[in-house]
Amino acid sequence: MASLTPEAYFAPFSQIIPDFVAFCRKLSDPLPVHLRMNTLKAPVSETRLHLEEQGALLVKEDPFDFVYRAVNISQPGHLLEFSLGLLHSQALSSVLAAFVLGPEPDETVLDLCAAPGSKTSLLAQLMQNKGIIVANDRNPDRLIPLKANLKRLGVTNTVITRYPGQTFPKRFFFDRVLVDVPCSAEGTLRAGPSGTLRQSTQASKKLTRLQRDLLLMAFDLLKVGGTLVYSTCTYSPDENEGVVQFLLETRPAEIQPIAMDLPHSPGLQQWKETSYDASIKYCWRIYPQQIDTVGFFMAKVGKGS
Amino acid sequence: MEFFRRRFGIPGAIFSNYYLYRRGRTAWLVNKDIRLQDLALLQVKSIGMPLLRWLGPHLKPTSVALQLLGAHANKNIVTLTSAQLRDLVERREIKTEFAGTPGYVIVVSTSLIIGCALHLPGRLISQFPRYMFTSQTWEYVL
Ligand SMILES: C[S@@+](CC[C@H](N)C(=O)[O-])C[C@H]1O[C@@H](n2cnc3c(N)ncnc32)[C@H](O)[C@@H]1O
Repeated sequence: MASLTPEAYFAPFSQIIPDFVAFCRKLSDPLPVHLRMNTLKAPVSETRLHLEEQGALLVKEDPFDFVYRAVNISQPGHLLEFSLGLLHSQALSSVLAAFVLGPEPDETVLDLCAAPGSKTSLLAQLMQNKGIIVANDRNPDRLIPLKANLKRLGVTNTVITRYPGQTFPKRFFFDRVLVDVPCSAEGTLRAGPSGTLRQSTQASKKLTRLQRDLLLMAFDLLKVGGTLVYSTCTYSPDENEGVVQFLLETRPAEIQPIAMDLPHSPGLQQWKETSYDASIKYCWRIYPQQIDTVGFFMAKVGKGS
Repeated sequence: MEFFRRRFGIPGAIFSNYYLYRRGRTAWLVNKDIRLQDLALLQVKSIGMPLLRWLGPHLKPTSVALQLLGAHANKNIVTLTSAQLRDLVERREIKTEFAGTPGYVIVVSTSLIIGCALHLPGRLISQFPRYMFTSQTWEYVL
């Protein structure tokens, strides 16, 4: 597996990444640890107090009152509070995707690519364990951590299925759908002490075809008037704007603005020879020099009549 | 739910928001929602959270269920110091007298609900799943 400097690794995207120098510099910092307090088990204030009594330094991440950056906790999985499901270690970008989907307590929600369940369990928290979530993942091995996380976090409104998302049966339609697709995942890369990055999965035609199929099925499973979020942790336009463009060309989908006030870049209007629909500017690209978390892409999609 | 009321004093009304499903020896707790019927059209792999298991004639609550519902309990609660809890987890059993009748108890430590243990005369036997804690849970300092 090749190891490259951030500059070399991301050179193909240097034209689209804002402040490329700051971006590359940021990749030498370790990824911060974010803790999402699980209000299904205890109020935020109680869990926070427990941690602070042990000396934890916690910084609240606005606008979320349940997310804290843990300044001096490097391995939250060893905390007793983690074992008891009082908190979950979750990247801020992952929190954002679930938050932007914005499920209400009594709605029906599909999480089409759900394992290991970080977003599913946050959706359950936002829904106060009410309504119904169907958490689907095609990979049997990944259903094990999915089940374990939902159990640990006290989720009782979720049903688990194991369909290939692209052939999920059209028998039940949902108020909201999250489609957090498998992707080339370079948003998760940070340079270690070596200062270099290890190659992640390559974007391929096969992968973008799967992402398109997953998004189309997710849209077809959405009720009229419903909301869908498509998300990836890659910077690749082919896996992001390209997939959303395909949806707009094949379905009556509408890209909606994301009503949050956080640093981000708009979705691209052009990549190489390809132009994208004007509404794709409402999508969010998040780079680590803007929000110190996993690099991320989100599209909020509505389904009109 | 009579079991939870009798053993722990958890009011039956707590369960009015849930359906209970039995599958094999396990009962599952799932949020009450009429639309779940429609999901019978899907091949469901699991539903809700495990609540209790039938062990012969006995009912054994899961630790995760006690963590979620234990705040409503008023009896058969055992409070341990951090050191006692660590012993219980590492040795799976501690020897001390506790008040209350033999049977399953809710273990609490540093005001956190930890989970389920079996209280026999002079002994407390851990029922926490082995994977619940990591090898470093007790060493981990900030
Ligand atoms: C980015 S991860 C999802 C992370 C998850 N949403 C979370 O927040 O914890 C993508 C997931 O898609 C699953 N997956 C891959 N191909 C799939 C398919 N065809 N249908 C459904 N799930 C699929 C993978 O097993 C993987 O768990």
